[in-house]
Amino acid sequence: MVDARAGRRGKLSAPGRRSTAAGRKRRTALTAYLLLLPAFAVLFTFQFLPAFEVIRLSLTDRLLLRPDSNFIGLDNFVRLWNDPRFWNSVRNTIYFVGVSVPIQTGLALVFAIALARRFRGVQFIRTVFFLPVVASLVAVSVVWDWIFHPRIGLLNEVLGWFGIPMQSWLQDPVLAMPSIILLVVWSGTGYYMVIYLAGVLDIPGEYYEAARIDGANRWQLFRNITWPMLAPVTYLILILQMINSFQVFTTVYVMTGGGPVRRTEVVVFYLYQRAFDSLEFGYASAISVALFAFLIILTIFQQQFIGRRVSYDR
Amino acid sequence: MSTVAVSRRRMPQARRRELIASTVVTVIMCALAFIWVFPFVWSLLTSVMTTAELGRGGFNLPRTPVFENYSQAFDRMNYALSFRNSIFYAGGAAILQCITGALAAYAFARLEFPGRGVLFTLALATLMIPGTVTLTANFVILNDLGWLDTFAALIIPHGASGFAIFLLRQFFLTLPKELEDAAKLDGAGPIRFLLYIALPLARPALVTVFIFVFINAYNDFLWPLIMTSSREMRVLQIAMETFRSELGAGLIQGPLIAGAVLTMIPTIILFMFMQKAFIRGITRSGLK
Repeated sequence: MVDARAGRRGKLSAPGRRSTAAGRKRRTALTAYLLLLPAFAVLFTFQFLPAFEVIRLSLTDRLLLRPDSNFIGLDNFVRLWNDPRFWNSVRNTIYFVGVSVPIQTGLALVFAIALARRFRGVQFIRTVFFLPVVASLVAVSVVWDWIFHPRIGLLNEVLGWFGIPMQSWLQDPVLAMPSIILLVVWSGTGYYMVIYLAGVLDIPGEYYEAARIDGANRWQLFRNITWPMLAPVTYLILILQMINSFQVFTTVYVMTGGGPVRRTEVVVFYLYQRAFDSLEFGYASAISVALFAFLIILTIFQQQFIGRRVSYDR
Repeated sequence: MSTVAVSRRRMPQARRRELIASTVVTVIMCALAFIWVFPFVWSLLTSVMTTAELGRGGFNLPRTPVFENYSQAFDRMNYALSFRNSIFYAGGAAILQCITGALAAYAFARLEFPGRGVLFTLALATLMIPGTVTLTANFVILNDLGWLDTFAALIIPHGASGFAIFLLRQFFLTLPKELEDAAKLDGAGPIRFLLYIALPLARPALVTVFIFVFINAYNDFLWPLIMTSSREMRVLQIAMETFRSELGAGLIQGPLIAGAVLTMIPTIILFMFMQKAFIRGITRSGLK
């Protein structure tokens, strides 16, 4: 590829130009391709190639322990369409995303605005909110497993002060998913807060001063300056968060293993089970492709319908 | 968000309200920060409790700290080895991304060549491919390469990213053209310019890439869970989860919490020192 491109370029630019200039250009291009080679070798082998390979796998009956597989067309997808366990995992994932994303985004915005001011210790408080982001999710899940413990957990202890009866959080089919969402909100909000904070600090102070002189109150300042100025950031955060949240796995794996009665079995967890527990690679790949298609559509949809409205002079 | 009006013309009263409002917000934020940090503080405290003390529940402080919990966790998780494996994985991926990222970013930022736009778009497009959907395919590819359960399987697939290329390109774009012209006059070609001038100047950006990739790879669970299987290849995250599952569901013991502390602490310390660099990685890559 490198040689072909360089050669074509040389031929195109040869007439009418001094050969030394063309030669230099060709050398520059060659250098550039060489510099790109290591990065693209990796990206090609472990990003682009698998993106196509997973589609090919999804059309086969490949099992992990049996490398020779047959092309079976769309059979996997037909099976997927009629698989209640898959739809259950879709429902659980949508529940998870639908609740956790608005809470995290809202909290992140509130935290960012509250911490954009200057006061003693503000840096420390920002760090505190961000700390769970860099902490190992597995270890954090172990700690929260114990906070949620029905008998000795802190959550029941604290709720007990207010007369709320003991709950078995992670073992309760109704409460398991909200418990996981609570942990995710605790661990993830700081990440989006930091993005919001950069956005808030980017808004020129003169806007607020001018509005204040006109007699705007706090709500008006927020509604007419902060919120519209942050629209591109909010949009970015929503995309990032949706894509991350639809792939939730680690907390589920550590805390509930998909239970109780599959009430926390999310799509990636189901995919993992099919691939590495029952070793159905073809079928697991079909789940991957469905998730992939969904995420791509989601991104395009967001770009089309939300992206257009938020371009605020950026 | 408090909605206290500040529009009154009588300034002193308005200012007093403003002060009250901002004090209230500060107090609320401090309370929230306390809740946020509490799980960390509490894990430190309970990591030195005896199993009997833990079993009592509630907010009891450890009577006499049992540091033996740590030595138990250390043994159960084979900490020395798992820690080394985690450092190899995270450090290897971070170094590789700095190298491949810098080379590619420099080409994209400073060199003219046919196909530059298309290739850059392709590099960025990798950010749109979610890691979880290519797991089965990557497993098959690594299996075909014979790399499964080796450091190659952990490190090489994470040896380049659109993130690193993008972030470093942004930096190289800010280098003044005059710098390059001056180097050219002194007879330095693009490679020399990259090695002796651009790279040393890019140190802050490289540190950002390194820290960002390092912390993410260190905390990564799913990839090592799938791509490694032997005891000797366990990274800390896998060792932690294995320790937990061997103990059995619902069983909380001092050593387990000590293990969680040991697993969390390295990245938290690293972050404390490199906070600015890490946060730059988030804000720069996200916000153009």
